Amino acid sequence: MGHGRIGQTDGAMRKTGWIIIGAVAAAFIIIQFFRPEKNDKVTNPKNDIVFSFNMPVNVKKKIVNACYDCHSETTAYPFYNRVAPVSWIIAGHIREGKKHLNFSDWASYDRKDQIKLLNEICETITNGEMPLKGYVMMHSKAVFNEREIEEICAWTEQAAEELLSRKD
Amino acid sequence: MLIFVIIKKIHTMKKLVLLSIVLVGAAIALMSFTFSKVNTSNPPQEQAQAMFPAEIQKIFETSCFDCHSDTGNAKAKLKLNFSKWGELSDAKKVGKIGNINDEVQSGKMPTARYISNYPDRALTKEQKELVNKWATEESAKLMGQ
Repeated sequence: MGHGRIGQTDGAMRKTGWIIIGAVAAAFIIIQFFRPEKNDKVTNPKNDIVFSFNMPVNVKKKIVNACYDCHSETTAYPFYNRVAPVSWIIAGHIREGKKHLNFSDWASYDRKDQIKLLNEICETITNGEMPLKGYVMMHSKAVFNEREIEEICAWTEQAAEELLSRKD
Repeated sequence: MLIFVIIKKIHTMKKLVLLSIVLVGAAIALMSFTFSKVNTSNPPQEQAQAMFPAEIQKIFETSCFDCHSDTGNAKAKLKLNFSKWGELSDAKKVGKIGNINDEVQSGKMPTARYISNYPDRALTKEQKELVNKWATEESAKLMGQ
């Protein structure tokens, strides 16, 4: 180990060190050219969940603030989204989020899926699964207090009941 | 000059690399040890009364109740506890039926770990179809269709 290693002088080690540092720096610069597509589609507001229900203002505000960055077609990007690979991670979260639930596309879900999703909204915020820990760390608007969780769950429950008895 | 000091440190770093390999190895060993102690050996529970059509009840008892009933584990019960099925509102039932069917059809449930312990409790294609048919009919019924 260390100094006396056969065939490798201090000079060679120094050179290897510089090569590694250079390669990492070059890789970092190169990946900056690969930018994920932005999540900023123009959608029909009539398809959004806020159009489907008469939501209490507090509930609407909280859901838009805490969830829409990943669960809708419009993301308010943070400044650090300019840097890869952070931008890739964010794009991945948005893709995954929209796959499970896209509030902008609410009208496209059938009635039983809407009921299921309403249940899941209450469940995931209650057990702390959502919003993602990392997201909450960077966005104070996504922190839920007890009262907000109660308000949202009261609303999702009522909305699910309404859907259950709604005749299509 | 600082950078040369850093490069000198590369010698020390070799030791660090070795140390981190050992640490990661130890962590993995510890994790597999801890996880292997997760108890999945509860026998299927005979629940008080049948809540589902006989063939569905049998599937759930065999392949789901170990974790998703009162005697199961906390994490699974948080998502779904069959022992409390009767207490759910119709809207909640519709939601849970949807979740059950999603998990079953995608093959996420029963978990791979559970199946590796109990290979005979994996759901067959026919069983999955039964669950799908039941889920579709039952939620339609609950929604008054």
